[in-house]
Amino acid sequence: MNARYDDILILDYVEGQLDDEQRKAFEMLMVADPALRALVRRMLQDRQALRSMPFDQAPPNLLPQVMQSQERQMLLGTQSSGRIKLQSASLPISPAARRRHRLMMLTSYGGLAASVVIVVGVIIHVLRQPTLSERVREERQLVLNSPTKKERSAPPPDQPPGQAPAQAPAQAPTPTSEVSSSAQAASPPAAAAAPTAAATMGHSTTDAIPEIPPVPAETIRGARLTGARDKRERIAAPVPSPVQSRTLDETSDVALADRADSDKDTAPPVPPAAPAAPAVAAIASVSKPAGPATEPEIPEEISPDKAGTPLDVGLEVVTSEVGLSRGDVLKWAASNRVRILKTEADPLSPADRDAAGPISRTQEVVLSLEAQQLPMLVSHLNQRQGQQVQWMRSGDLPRRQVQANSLSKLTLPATTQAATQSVAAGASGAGDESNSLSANAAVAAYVAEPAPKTVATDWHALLMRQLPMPVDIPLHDPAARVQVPIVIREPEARPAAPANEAQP
Amino acid sequence: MATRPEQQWALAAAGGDQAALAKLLETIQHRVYTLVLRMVSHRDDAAEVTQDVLLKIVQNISVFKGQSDVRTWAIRIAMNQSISHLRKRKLRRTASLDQQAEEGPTPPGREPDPAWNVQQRESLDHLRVALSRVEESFRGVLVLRDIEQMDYQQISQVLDLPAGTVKSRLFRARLALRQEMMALEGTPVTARPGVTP
Repeated sequence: MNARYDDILILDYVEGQLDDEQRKAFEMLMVADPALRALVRRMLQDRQALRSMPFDQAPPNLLPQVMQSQERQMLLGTQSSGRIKLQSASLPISPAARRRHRLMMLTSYGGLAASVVIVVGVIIHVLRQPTLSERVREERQLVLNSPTKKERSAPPPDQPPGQAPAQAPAQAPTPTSEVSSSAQAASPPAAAAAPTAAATMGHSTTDAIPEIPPVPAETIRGARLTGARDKRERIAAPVPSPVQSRTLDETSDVALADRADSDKDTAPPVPPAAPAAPAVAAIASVSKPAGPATEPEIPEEISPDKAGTPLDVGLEVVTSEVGLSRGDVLKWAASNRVRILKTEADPLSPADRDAAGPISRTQEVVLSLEAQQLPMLVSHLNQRQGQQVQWMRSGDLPRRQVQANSLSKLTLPATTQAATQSVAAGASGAGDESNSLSANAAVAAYVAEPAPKTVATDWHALLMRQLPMPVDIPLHDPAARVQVPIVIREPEARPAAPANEAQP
Repeated sequence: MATRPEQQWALAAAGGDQAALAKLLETIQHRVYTLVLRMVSHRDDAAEVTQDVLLKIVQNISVFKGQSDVRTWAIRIAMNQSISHLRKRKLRRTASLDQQAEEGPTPPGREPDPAWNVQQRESLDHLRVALSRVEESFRGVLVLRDIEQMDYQQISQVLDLPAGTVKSRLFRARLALRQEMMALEGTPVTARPGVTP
C-alpha cells in the first residue's frame, strides 16, 4: 500500500503542532481530498471528546483504607499484599458466602490432592509390577525352590513317627518328572552339545530350564537323568571337597564307597566296614567324570544324614502296569513318612536305552526310608497283583555302566550265597508264586566282599523271609535311614546283563 | 494536577512528613483513579488498582528525589499497575461489549453539565466503549495524551518509549479509536484515507 499523505503530518495537524504555512498547505490538501478532510474532522472530534470527558472521583473510602493498610504494614513489618478489599456496593460479600467459598476451595484442593495421590499410587504400583521375563524367572525360581508334593506331605525328619505332618506353605507346583523325561527324550541331539556341570554331577537337563546347557552323550554315560527336582535335592557336604559335594543321585547309589575311600575322616553316615566299598568305588569312578570346579552348590534341606545311607541293592518291580505301580509306590511313601528322593520315568538316555535293550517303559523311584520300613515296603509291593518284586544290585540299576574288571572283583559272601541259592532252588523247584523272583534275585546277588557281620534284628529277619536280600545291610539301628532305588519296568524291559556277570 | 505544590509535598513526604504525604495522596487520588478507570474500564477494578498505586506511592515516596515530576512518576506507577491488572484480567475473562455497563452509570453528584444533550451523552458512551476496545498500548497513549494531556516527552518517559514511537503509536491509536467509534455508530469502517489499496 502506498500512502499519499504523511501520518505524522496528519497527526501534527490534529495535535495543532503545525506552523501557519504547514497548516495552510495541509488544509489545501484537505480541500482537494474529502476523505482526508472527513478523517481529520472526526479525529479532532474524538480528541476533543476525550479531553472533555469528565473526571471521575475516587471512592470516598479509598484513601483511608490506603492509610490503614499502610499503618498495618508498618506494624507488621511487611511491605506487600497490604491491600484492603474495597467494599463493593454492587456485589457485597457476606461472611457466610466467604465461608462457603473457603469450604469450596478446601474441597476442591482436597480432591485435587487426593487425585494426585491416587495417580501417583497407581503409577508406583504399575512400575513395581514385574515384567513378563521377571515373572517367568521368579516362577522358575519358585519351582526350583519349592518342595515336592511328597516333601510337603511328609513330616520333618526330627518329627516323631506318629505325629501328623506340619502344614506346608503354599508353593507353586513343581514340574513332574514325566514332563522332564519327555523333554529330555524329545531332544537328544541337544543333550549332546557340550560337557557341562550338570552332566559332571550326574545330572542332565530333563526339563525346560534354560540355565542348564545340554550335555553330550559321552559325558552323560553313567550319569542319571534327573529333573529340576533333583537339582533341588543336591546334598550339602560340610567340607567342599569334590566327593562330598556330590549329588544325591551319586551318593544314593554309587558314592558310598567313594565316600568311604576318600573321606574317611569326614564321618559319613556309612559305617567304616561298608560291604560294597571297593566295588562301588569302582562304579563311582566310572560314573563320576568331572572335577570339583563344576560341582554345583548343594542345598541344605537334604543333607546326607537326612537322605540316608545309599544301599548297594535296589528293588526291581516287574509289572505290566508301570504307571500304576509307580503311583502306588509314591502313595505308600507319602503315607509312611518316606522321603521321595527321586522319581522319574524312563531314566535311560537314548544311548543307554539302545545298549540296555528294548525298554519300553521304565520308571525309577529313589526312596529314603528307615531300615525297619524295608519289610513294609516289600510287603506292600508284594501285595499288588501281577507284580513281581526282586532285589537288584546297583550295577543292574539303569544307567549304571559297570566295567567288567570292576565287576570281577565282586563276589557273593558265603552267607548270602547260601541264602540266595536256597531260595532260588526252592523257587525253581516248587514254583512258589511268592518266591518266583528268587532266580532273578540270585542273578542280582552281587556284593562286595568281605561281607560285614550284621546284627540280626527282627526287621532284618522279616525282610529276609519276605525277600532274601543278596547283601547284608550294615545297619545296626533299625531307625537308620537308607536310600533304596526302586526300578519299575515292564516284563520285556529288563536290561540285558553282561554275560560274565549273569550268574555268580 | 498542579505541579508545584504536589512536587513540594512529595519532597516533604520523602523526608518523612506524613501530613504532606496525606495531602499528596488526597490530591492525586482522583486523577489516578480516573486514569486507571479509563484504562481498566471497571469501577471496582479501578478502585483496587488505585489503592495499589497509592500504596506503592506511600511505600516508595522515601526514594523520590524530586528529579522528575511527581505527577509523571505517579502516572507511570498507575499505568504499570493498570497494564498488569489488564493482563491478569485478560486471563480471567475476555472483554465484553458491556464495558459501559461495567463502568456503570455516572455517580450521583457527578452528573455532566446539563448543557450536554442526548447526542453528547451518547457520544460519550460510545467513546468509553470504543476506548475500552482499543488495544491497550494504543489506549495508554490516548489516555496519557488526551486525558492526562501529557506532551510527547512525558509520554515517552511514562511508557519508556522513544518520542517518535510515541507519535506514530498515537496516530495509529487515533485511527483505531476512529474505527471503533464508526463501528459503534453503525457506520461501516471506511478505508484509510490517503492509503491506496
